[in-house]
Amino acid sequence: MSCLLECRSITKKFGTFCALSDINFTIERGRIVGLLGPNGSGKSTFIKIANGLLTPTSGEIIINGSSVGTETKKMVSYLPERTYLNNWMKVSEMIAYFSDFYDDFDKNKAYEMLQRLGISPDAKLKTLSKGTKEKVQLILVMSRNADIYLLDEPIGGVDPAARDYILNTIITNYNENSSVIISTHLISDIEQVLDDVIFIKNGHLVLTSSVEDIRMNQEKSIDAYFREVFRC
Amino acid sequence: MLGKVFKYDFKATVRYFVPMYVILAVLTVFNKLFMELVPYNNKNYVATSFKTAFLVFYIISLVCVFLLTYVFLTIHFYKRMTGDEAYLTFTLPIKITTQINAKVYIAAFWSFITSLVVGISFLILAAGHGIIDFFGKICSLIQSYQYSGSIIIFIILFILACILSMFYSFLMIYAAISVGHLFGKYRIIGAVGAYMGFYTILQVISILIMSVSGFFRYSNYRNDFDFLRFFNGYMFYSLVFSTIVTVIYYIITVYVFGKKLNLE
Repeated sequence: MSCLLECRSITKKFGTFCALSDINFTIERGRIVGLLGPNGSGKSTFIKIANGLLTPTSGEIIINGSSVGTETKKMVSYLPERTYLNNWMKVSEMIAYFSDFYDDFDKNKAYEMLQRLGISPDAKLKTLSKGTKEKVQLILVMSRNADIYLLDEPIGGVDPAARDYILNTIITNYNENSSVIISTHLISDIEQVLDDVIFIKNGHLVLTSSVEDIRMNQEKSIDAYFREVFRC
Repeated sequence: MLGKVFKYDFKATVRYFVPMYVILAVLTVFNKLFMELVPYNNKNYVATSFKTAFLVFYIISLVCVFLLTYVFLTIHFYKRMTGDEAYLTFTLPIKITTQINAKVYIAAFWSFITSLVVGISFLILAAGHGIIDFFGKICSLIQSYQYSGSIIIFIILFILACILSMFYSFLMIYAAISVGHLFGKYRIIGAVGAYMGFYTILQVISILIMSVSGFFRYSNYRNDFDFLRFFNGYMFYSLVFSTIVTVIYYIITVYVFGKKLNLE
């Protein structure tokens, strides 16, 4: 399998606080990876660096052979933990926006998902609830045929019914050439879809492993093993 | 890509500017009506009061139109480049220079439209009150001036200064916001501090240049001295200086958002 993302000795400091310390790992194509850790462990920091939203103190992230920049942004579909939508736009205008800037954006797929979730394309974003906005954002992100999907807490703010739909959307929309990295602390909800896990604690890499290996060697679910590793 | 970014920047800002221009247009029409219907020496107290009130509103709205042009564009830049929307701005596969160029062009565009709208508003108010005579008098004054060549150069330099100021003033704000971004949680205070810092440094450098170049000694010259020619020389060097400063602001903005971006 070819390497899609390589994290080379990434360190990120905010003043004296070290959010990430010398992180190294690789992600292959065709995998769904759980980036797992408690709140404040550095998951979002890593994802932001991979998207070029944070500048690392040292080290670099290589995506498909390129350092993070304009070229890698064409390959990465990013779902941030906050709403970045232009509130004054309609949902359909936001779809047009994505379509204008991303060559790999599939408009039909987006409209199909909107219909299935009962969201009107004519609705103004400012009139939508926080949860619905998050769904619109996920639809936009998953309607791209990207190489890598970086999803920061994709199920954090939605109801359990929507969580199933979101996870289903993630599984059905990625293919063997792309990978999905899901950052979350709600492990039991996503455990079923993961191929690999990366545990991060206080900015340090604790573990990278396939889900299968953990189940075989530890004879535990990922959720149970996570609770053991991160016991307070 | 620049066209696409400009298109969405235009869409994001047009909803602020159109209502503002509509309010100015309404005030212009009302003022014009009162100017035409209520003569200067009118004894009707109510009509004269309304006329005065609308004139006051009009003058206030003129100040507001220019002020709000800066406010709207500053807020737009701040939200797009450092707010929640920045998460989308900086994950689009677009070069940072394209993003910033679009913001500079949109600012120059709305500055120009604001000046145009205000100019048209003035012309509407002045129409029928000897405005053609007024321009005629200015033209003949220019022709009769001893050093008419200097006036033409002055007009050219003045137009160039107006064009440059549209870029200069907004890039100063953008550079201040970008420097403020380096202060993390204190980015608004940082931006205000950077703006004040830029302003102070420029004032000091300008006064130094004016002192060294002898600008303050112009009164020592003879009576028939062509002041305008002297002033044009000063204006030319100020234009060169302002262009250099504008380029520096642009470089600061591109550098910070390109190399030091930290959306915490």
